[in-house]
Amino acid sequence: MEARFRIGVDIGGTFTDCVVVDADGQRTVSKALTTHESLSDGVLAALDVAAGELGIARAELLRGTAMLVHGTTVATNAVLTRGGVRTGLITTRGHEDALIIGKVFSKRAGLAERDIQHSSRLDKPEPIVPPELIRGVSERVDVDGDVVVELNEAEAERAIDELVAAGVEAIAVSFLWSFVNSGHERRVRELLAERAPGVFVSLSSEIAPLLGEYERTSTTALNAYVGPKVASYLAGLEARLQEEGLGGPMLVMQAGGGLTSVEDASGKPILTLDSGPAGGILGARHLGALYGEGNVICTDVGGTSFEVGLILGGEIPLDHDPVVSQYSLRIPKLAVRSIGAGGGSLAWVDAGGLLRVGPQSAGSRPGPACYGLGGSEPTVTDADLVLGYLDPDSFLGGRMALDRDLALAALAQLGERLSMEPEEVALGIFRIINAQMADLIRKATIEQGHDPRDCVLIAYGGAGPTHAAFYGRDIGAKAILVLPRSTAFSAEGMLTCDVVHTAQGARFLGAPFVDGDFAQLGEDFVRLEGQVIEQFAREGARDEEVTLVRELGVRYRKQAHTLIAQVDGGPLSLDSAGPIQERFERRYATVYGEGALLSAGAGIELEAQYVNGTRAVEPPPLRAHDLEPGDGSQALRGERQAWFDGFLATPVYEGSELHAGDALTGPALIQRMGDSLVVPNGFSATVDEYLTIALTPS
Amino acid sequence: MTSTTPTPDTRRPAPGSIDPVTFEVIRHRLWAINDEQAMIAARMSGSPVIYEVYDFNAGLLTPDGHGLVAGIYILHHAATIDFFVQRILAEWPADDIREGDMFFTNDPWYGALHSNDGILVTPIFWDGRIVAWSGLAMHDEDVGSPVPGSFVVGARDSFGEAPLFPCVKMVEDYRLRPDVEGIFLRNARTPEHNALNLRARLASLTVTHRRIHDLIRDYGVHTFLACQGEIVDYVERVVRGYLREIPDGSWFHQVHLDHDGNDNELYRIACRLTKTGDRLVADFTGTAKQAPGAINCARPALEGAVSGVFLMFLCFDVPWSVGAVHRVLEIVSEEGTVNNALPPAATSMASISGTLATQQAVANAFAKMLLSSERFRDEAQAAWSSIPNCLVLSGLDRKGIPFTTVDMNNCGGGAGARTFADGMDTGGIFHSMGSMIPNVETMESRAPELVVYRRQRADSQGHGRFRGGAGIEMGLTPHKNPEPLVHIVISAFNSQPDNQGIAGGTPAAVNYSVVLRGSELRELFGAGSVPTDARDVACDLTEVLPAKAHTHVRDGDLHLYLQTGGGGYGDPLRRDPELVLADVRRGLISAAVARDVYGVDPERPGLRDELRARRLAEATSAPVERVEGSGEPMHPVADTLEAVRVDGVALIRCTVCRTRLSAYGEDYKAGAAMRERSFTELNELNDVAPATDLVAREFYCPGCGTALALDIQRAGEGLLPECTFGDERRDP
Repeated sequence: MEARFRIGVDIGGTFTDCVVVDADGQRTVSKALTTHESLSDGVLAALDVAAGELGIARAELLRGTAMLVHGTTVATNAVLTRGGVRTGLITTRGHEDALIIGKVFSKRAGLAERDIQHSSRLDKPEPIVPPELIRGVSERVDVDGDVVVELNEAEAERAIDELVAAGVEAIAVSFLWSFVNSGHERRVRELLAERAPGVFVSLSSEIAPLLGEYERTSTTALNAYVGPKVASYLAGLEARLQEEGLGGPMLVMQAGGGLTSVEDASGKPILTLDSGPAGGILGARHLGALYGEGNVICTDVGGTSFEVGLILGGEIPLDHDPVVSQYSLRIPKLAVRSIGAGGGSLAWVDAGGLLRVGPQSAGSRPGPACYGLGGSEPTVTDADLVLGYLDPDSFLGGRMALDRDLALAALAQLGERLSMEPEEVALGIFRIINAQMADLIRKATIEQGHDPRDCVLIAYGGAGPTHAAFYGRDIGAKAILVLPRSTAFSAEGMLTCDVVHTAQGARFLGAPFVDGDFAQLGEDFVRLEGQVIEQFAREGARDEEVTLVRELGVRYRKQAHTLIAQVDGGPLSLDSAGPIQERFERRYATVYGEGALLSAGAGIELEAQYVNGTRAVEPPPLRAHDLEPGDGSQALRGERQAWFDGFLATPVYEGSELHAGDALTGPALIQRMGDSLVVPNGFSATVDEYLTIALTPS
Repeated sequence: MTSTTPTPDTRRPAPGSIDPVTFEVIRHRLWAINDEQAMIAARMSGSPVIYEVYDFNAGLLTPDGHGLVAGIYILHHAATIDFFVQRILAEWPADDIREGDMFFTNDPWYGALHSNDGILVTPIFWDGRIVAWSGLAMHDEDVGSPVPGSFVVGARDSFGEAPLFPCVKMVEDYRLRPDVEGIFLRNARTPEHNALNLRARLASLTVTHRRIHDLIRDYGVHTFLACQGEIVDYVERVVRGYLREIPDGSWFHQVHLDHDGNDNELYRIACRLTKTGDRLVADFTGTAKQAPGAINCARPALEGAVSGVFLMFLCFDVPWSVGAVHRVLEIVSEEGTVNNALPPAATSMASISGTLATQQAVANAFAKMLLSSERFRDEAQAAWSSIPNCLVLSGLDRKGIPFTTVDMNNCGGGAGARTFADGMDTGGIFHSMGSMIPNVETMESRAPELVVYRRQRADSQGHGRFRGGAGIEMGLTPHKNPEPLVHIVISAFNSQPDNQGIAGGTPAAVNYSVVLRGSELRELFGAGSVPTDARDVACDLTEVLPAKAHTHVRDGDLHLYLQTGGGGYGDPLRRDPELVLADVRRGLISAAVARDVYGVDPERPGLRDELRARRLAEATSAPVERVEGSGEPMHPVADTLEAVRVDGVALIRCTVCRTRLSAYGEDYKAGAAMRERSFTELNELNDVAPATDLVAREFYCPGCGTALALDIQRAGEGLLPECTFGDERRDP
């Protein structure tokens, strides 16, 4: 049978989303509850639903599938819930506490201002490797990679035996300066193979070969901690899909945005962290390209959190210091910012008598007051409902009725303490949450030196369409695009990404440069390129399918934070220094301002080297509909009172009845499967050829 | 002469002129703008003290120079930015303050904590008038003086220290003035660092200026100004409400600052905190005269230390507005004292000496105050490790290029115990939740050294029902160094413990720097062994360095360094024995401490009773009067003390055995049994402390021997006050 389908699967905390795309670009979206005890079951259930929609059996769907792409939260959840395996750590003797000390930084890593201010409540994270499973071994390498103390093999063997006796299932090995000289780590792996077969092993020189033993160790330990679970889950799912005749490869989404093989992901499972949100951002990049927009702000409004990603000049910036559960990581990870602001965020009154919203959330149970499941505190969803933005009868496609009276009662309770009417409180909540979301966007854009006025904003996630016009207007994006199928957009986005492998080096070079520096750097790049090519070859890719890009971390002498500059291919020489400095300073002036540049010819330093290899995957076609200018009146379904500087009788449209080419002016409400799109007054909404609705200030 | 802080006359908008939602939006935005300002500076800086330890802070201020929002970084800087702006407004010709101007100082009497902490501030104009100020204070690695790093061991007055810039216009039209910058860089050993730091300050203030203009365009200048007043009012309203919930009273604490840079003299810093209604007075009367050495601090730093403690303890859920704090807080201090020194006092170590010792005195008194409030007792914390055992390394690096670097592991000490949990091990410093310590690999790439080990040090913390967090210890040795390295030690609390406990908890160990001269370290390395304890390394000579020292470290020397832990809370004999044993298993306390301090020894079940009996036997006696009956609780006093009214009489009694300690209005110490010991007996690690006449006085309930309080003081001094409560009819 001809392989005509491509499938994207995103396992989220509540739902497993699935998107099947056929050869014509026709999308079929399905959802199933996530089955935490056995994640494969939820995936298969979602596939069942999709197959049902297509009128075929699941096995037939799988046999006809050319590629299945999969994003998973297994790694993220294993860390957040401390559900990884019993893990041991072997490290340089004298430095056993590095992971526990966490540079002191771990007490606040990833926390919000509000939490950091409250010193009596700060704590370091619960250890992923308990202190009794950390073993120091005598060995020492110095900054130049020279061995100061030989590896004490007797100590290493004893450490391995003790850890095995203590029942560990995974062992991380992280020695000082191993990213310069990995000999001792590799020798310990040989000893582990002999004495602890079957134990999952991670070496820091392979997982995160960069300067900084805390972050390197933490990344390696987390990799070991989630490794056995992710590896066995991925292998299990792949086996079940293959048994059923999966027609093409199963590929895994990585935090850095590229796809990789199951084999590769099983060795570096930490790279699958947060791979769901990554899918959404990649999807947004693809759409941006389709629209000819290189600068995109991706906004995902869920039930408990609001996530923002950025695309600049068609590129997605990486977060070089990501944090999970207060642990710092050194992995390539798309920059995604997140705050506790979503439909379920709770409103409250603080000690100073001010209205506040979030970050606590009512979750799915009891949920917002209007769910009628016992929640008595008002949430953003309650405010949306009272303001008329949500239809009480068509929430989740009518599967769940919302109770406006319960929402009002909850708002009134808060209103009493604020001397405000319930509707005023609702409006206050609505404005505050929108302002918080706009602030996060500002943090991701303006504070990084990017002007949101040069960007289009793409909104997805269940509550995105309700709030998009408001937070979008506040930050001044040039257009706001609300996508069709916005609830499963992350799964769809995974189908648009390429297979990516990265190698990194840690050679340090400082000005004044001498002959030979760059020749050496060029050789490093060639070696890293070789590693990347070899990995692609193992997966069956031909050399000519792979595109390689070289990058360098550059900074002024004495600085610590680097900016990334691209380097041309081919051999390097002393002449390469000029163009590198020029690219660095151009970027520097953009981020920090012209006044911040040092005088011409100031010394620069080159720190990390990266080679990014990409094998392009042709994204599934998106069918363009013919545009027929119209006013959408065929979709008009009546009116509802909704707040637009006062309650107004507002026209309500059925989204599935709108045609490409329809244009409406606000105020208007567009009821869609799984969401409610709000078009405020002063905005117009146009449906484009891909059925995306663009909101623009008129 | 006694001076007091005047209550600032910040313009207040008419109440209700701004809706609460707009207020919340703008407040949030101002915080984001201020934090962005700080982070831009950190990213651009070339100094590890900035990008790694975050020794800087940013502030947004009202047009008249009162702090609206301070960042989460070094808090002491925040208040001093206010001071500088107010001084510019008072002294600089108004028609010579223009848009694009930025003013600089590194003068302690203008607002810098010490000469390294240069502040750059800029007025933010709108329609020709100043609508706000923003400022950024950050530490420069070296700003001149005879000693690398500019903490001048050996200085007797300011003329032996780095040049001071009282107030200069460093920037015009957003561009650095080359003439003024030239003077600043010419005097420093680290001109490259300082040039980057100046640009970091400039760029971050420029961005703030732009952001504030965007905000005004969005909301209008009237709303922006009204919102400023509202923020200060709002914070003031909240903290006044908090203060009203605390019983009126007075709490006392004192610390000693040792070694003035020339001699190991002790300087007392005394703090009496008095709370009446919704106001607080911090009175430093009785503090030692200014020292003939670099440990003094000037008035701005004193204010920074006090308001920093206030922000940490009472502003845990409101914006950090220094302007609001000043409205409810009065500081009484005599000029010419070690924490309110007058020119030409030497102050080059002020940030880590006078300022931090002041903080410790205030923080302890403040914690005692919070313990007496039912609502806020869980905010009380014993003192965190504060005074840095600060180490500056200098010499030639592996390539033979001169370098100077500040080690910064002093930000790795232990946190103070809480009333419900232990202090965080290696929790950092109290005055900056943002700071951190460098990676060992970063340290070794900056200086030609090997960090042989770095770990959490067992027994370095104070003990108690909840213990302090463990401090950090390391062993350093030169490596691939073309010539001997210079190690400059600027420490304090080497002669006596820094982080005293509260409510019967014990103090942490003293800080130390010990050099094992001519050790056999390299022989051990050759034999395939890395030592993790000084006891494993033989040497020619063990040299305990004074608190302020300047020494050469050569091949084979091993420098042992301790930044101590946090203080304890409550009587250690009341700690859950399971927690004690778990700490022993984790190597955070020794078996000897478990036995002798915690009374936990699986072989000796009755040990705790024995220890309590021994305490009372060795203590001065006090009358034992039990007051039975539950009575009418008024408020807590300490871990095992309560204020209670029984049969109409208000008194303070032990909650363990109901022994009456004192009448309500009296200091309970008067009714306690007291045992005096050498403080070195408190902790084996204190053996390295130089001899002084300091003693430990432990106070027990005379009825049951439960520990209530512990003071470190000079042998000849009378008993120190602890706390007294005000009029009992006004109890909350």
